[in-house]
Amino acid sequence: MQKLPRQLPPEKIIGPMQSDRRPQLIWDLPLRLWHWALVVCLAGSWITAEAGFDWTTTHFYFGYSALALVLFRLAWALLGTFHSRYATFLASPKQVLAYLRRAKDAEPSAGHNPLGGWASVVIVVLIGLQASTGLFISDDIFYAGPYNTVVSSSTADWLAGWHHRLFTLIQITVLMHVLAVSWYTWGKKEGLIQAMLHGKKTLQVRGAEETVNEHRGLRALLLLALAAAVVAIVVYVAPLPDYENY
Amino acid sequence: MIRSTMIFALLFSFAGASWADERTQKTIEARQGLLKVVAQYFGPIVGMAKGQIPYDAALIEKNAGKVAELAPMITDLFAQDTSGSDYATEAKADIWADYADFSAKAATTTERANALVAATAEGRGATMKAFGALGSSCKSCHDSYRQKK
Repeated sequence: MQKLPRQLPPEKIIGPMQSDRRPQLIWDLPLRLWHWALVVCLAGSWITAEAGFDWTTTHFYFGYSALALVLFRLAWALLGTFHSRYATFLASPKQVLAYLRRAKDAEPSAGHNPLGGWASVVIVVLIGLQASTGLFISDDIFYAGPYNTVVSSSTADWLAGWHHRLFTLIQITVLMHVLAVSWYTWGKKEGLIQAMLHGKKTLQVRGAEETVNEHRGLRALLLLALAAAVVAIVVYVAPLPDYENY
Repeated sequence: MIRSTMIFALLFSFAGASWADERTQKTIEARQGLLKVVAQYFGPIVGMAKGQIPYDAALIEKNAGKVAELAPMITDLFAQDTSGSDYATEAKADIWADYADFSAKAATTTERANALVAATAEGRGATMKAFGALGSSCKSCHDSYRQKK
């Protein structure tokens, strides 16, 4: 138990000595692996979309994986460790605006800052929509998402339009994310990028309820397996196209 | 006399305009029909390539032969530039901006459909490889010349 620092009066905590700043675990291992797996899926689906016809099947698997990762993240938002949970970091619009006004001088946030928390949700929602629209569209020739058969071809075309527009939005969002974390890392020297690698930030010691001291790896594995199973079943039970009347 | 001539001229010009419109519409419908017929012959081979319907070399040979007969009609039906028309079409104006390229792509499709017919004699692996080549030639044209929403 790290009771002592909590009992110190606040003026001593933010005093010049800063003796109670130490590296502490913020991001559990499953969350970090999830983050980098999502990067791989995004890069992979982009490259395979550009690489053309022969890479379409691989593109589908990146999409299915992204969908499973999105489902995992939603589960981890409830069942992960403290800083992974949405309840911890989703701030009110007022708090976001207040944060924006003082972002330059703001003390480092332990987990997501009020704006970054929402940005993470936006990215997850965009990727979820992107992967979901992919299930319904086709290249009009050979490859079709598993649920292309359940929508009319005009609906499929409309969704295909969104599949392309959403990706542009994702690219913009990711670019902003990279610029933001670079600013926090090299501008504000908060070590944000490092924190997504080793999980730790150097901060004032927090209260026990805000301290992350486990990774919940087994739970994460089970949830990931569940998310993958849901996606696999959804893909597997999809009706086959009518090839005699293509 | 002058007035009635003007009225007749006006009426004829309307008739002329509507005749041109109808011709455009028929051309667009004929193209869409042609590509739907291509899809009818293409579809079963897609099902076989994905292992979702039983492989049937004789059917592939027959259907690929039909596609090879249909593909040259693409340039026949796209010869008329309909890019200025109001009818719903997914044909991009780029087709007529570079009709030589469009025609070359259509010719590639014919060639590859014929190659697929030949490949059916060489077993399943060669057949599917030839089918992939045919599909990618279709796609290269759709990517360049079919309007994406």
